[in-house]
Amino acid sequence: MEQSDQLLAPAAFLILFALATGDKHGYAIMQEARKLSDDSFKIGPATLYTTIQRLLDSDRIREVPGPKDGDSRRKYYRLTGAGKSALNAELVRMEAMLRKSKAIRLRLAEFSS
Amino acid sequence: MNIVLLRSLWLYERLLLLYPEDLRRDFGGEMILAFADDLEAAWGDARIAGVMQIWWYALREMLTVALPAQRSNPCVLVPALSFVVVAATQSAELCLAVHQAARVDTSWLFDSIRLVVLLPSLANALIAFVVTRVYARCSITALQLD
Repeated sequence: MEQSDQLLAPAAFLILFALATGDKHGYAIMQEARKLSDDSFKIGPATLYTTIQRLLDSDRIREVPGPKDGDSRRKYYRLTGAGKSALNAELVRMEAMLRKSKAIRLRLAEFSS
Repeated sequence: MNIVLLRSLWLYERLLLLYPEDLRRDFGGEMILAFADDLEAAWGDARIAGVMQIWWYALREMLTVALPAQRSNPCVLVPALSFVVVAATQSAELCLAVHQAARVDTSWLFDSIRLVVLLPSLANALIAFVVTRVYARCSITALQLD
């Protein structure tokens, strides 16, 4: 099974999604992930960095230098090619699920009426 | 940063010891920074209620991230098991004593829990920690000598 074919955990998906719009440091990823999930999924520092550690190990993200005027204590992260593929595969999977769920809802509506 | 946030940060830094060593080594500083940012934002939004919510998430992460990650670490597992076993047996003894006592008042009960259950459990966990730690060091030395 290729890496991009594997299901992503919700935290990993949100981190990759947050990084799709550009390089970010940890706290910015946390905030973006919260916004993307409409505040329904809160990633704390431990979940964030445990997942970042896994994503770095699987080469889905990599560390990059931050802006020159930024806080030197913060590390910035960027999506790699493998990370983009994994995110794209997950989005395609979600879209397919959404289409199927709509069809099922229609059928349920017909059945109940 | 006010005293509430500073104390919270101090405590969080200490609690990071519960996380695996490699995570602390690679990301400990960043975790503290992210927690501090989160605390400041929460204080700005909802004061104490915001800080309490951040602590709720942090404690939940201790249970869902830190403890499962430490399952294979004998220096955490053995003292934790020792604490649970001693606390359970001492609690059973205390229950028996309470059941047979003619009169039980609250202060007596709290003192008994502290002295009969918590103190021996903590002492045993501490001894288990020291022994496991020493044993782990000895076995590493033995491996190196071989």
